[in-house]
Amino acid sequence: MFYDVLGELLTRAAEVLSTEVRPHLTDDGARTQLDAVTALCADIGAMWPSLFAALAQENRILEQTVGTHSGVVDELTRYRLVLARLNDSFDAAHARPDSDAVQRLENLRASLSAAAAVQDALVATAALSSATAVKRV
Amino acid sequence: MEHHATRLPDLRSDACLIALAEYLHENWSSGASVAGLRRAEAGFSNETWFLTIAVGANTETVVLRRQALAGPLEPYDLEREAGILTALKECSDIPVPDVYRYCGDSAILGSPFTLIERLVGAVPDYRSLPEYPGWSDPRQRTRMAEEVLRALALIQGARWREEPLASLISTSDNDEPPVVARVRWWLSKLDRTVGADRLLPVLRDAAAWLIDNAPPTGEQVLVHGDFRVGNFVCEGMTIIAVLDWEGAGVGDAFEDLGYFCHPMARVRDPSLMGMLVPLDELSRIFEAQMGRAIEMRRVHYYLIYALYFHLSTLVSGFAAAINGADLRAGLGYSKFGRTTSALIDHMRAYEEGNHVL
Repeated sequence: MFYDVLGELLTRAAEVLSTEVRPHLTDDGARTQLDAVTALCADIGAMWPSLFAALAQENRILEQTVGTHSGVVDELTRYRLVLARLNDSFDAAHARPDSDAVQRLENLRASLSAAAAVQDALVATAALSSATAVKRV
Repeated sequence: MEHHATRLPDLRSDACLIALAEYLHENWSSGASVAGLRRAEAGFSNETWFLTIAVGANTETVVLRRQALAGPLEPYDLEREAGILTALKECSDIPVPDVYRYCGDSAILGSPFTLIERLVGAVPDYRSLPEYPGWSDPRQRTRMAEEVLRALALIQGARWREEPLASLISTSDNDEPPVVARVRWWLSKLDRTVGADRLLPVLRDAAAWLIDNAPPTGEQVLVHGDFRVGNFVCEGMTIIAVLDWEGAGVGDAFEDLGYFCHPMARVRDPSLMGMLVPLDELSRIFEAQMGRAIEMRRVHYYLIYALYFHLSTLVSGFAAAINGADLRAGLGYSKFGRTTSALIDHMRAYEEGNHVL
């Protein structure tokens, strides 16, 4: 139950902030920041049920491309390790612009695109659920 | 990530209002007082306020801009922006607001600030442009696009090699195109603030790609650096002023145009450049205004730079929000995936010679 309810609680927190707290704020600056907190809670609440699976899926895609599996169980640690590895791989490919590097860059970019699609799908679930008026960058 | 920022004091606090009144008394008019102060709905960086100053029975509303301590585009430098606005009056015909005062003493309001002319007009944003009166009429959109390119022609006609503008617009001593220095600056900033090993890999890739593919330095012009709907004051479809010069510099003649065609600024209708007109129409207007054709390859390159810049500011905003800046600056995470895909798609298309924006 513990892991299940956290997302629902965040979604509920966004509703409380929006309907029960916001009307009592008169300061525009404070309202703006509250709206941002509300958007965060709503987004994370909406993404929560798919968040862990999406992270694991991104890790699988990216690790397959850099050709290594860290052996680390924790997904966030795996993610940090694979990002560092990808950064090194891009540096190496750009440093030696031969035909192998061209193919290598193509593979790395394809992998990033596939991972970005996973992230985009996750964000889309939040966009559908989040109804806050906050102005985003 | 580094943690350094502190929050600015509330400008409506008693301490700030007293300090502001004393400043106005000494620097505006001996009888001046604060008659009104309202925060404008503006960006996440420098604060923008409407300040009404009373002198006797007369009142005047001006814009007060207070320098942000933290934000996506930090470090901020209002003094430079105020200098550029003033210099543009001498070195160009670009319509910009008058700068009345610059105060660099952070002891007064917690950070440097400027008092500038308030222009009466609308500042539509590319996100909300479809709701702007007249936008639904294609002829009106064309009219605004013509205005945009008229403004661009005025920017490119600025005499940036003349003082006082020359000293404010830094140029590189080497032969590298100016965009390369900007790419390196962003990469270095993000490596420092986010951490080199935590950087989004697409940014490292795009930085190297942009450096490798930078077009040779051609005609150098003044570049606005954030050339888009949202930084224009409009009366109907007429642009009466160009705002936000903090990113201005010297660069390629197609840099601002590539930025204007930025895919993330036309999400609501990708076929409309700057949410105004299709590319072929923009090309026609460009040719009529500038007397030459668009170089699609160059525009495409600078569109890719705009995507790199955009994603860099999203990541930078994320770090800034954690460090105490406006929390809204951190909400750009929702665009990481989409912008990553757009960058990769455009780099690939460029290499294939497919310059469809």
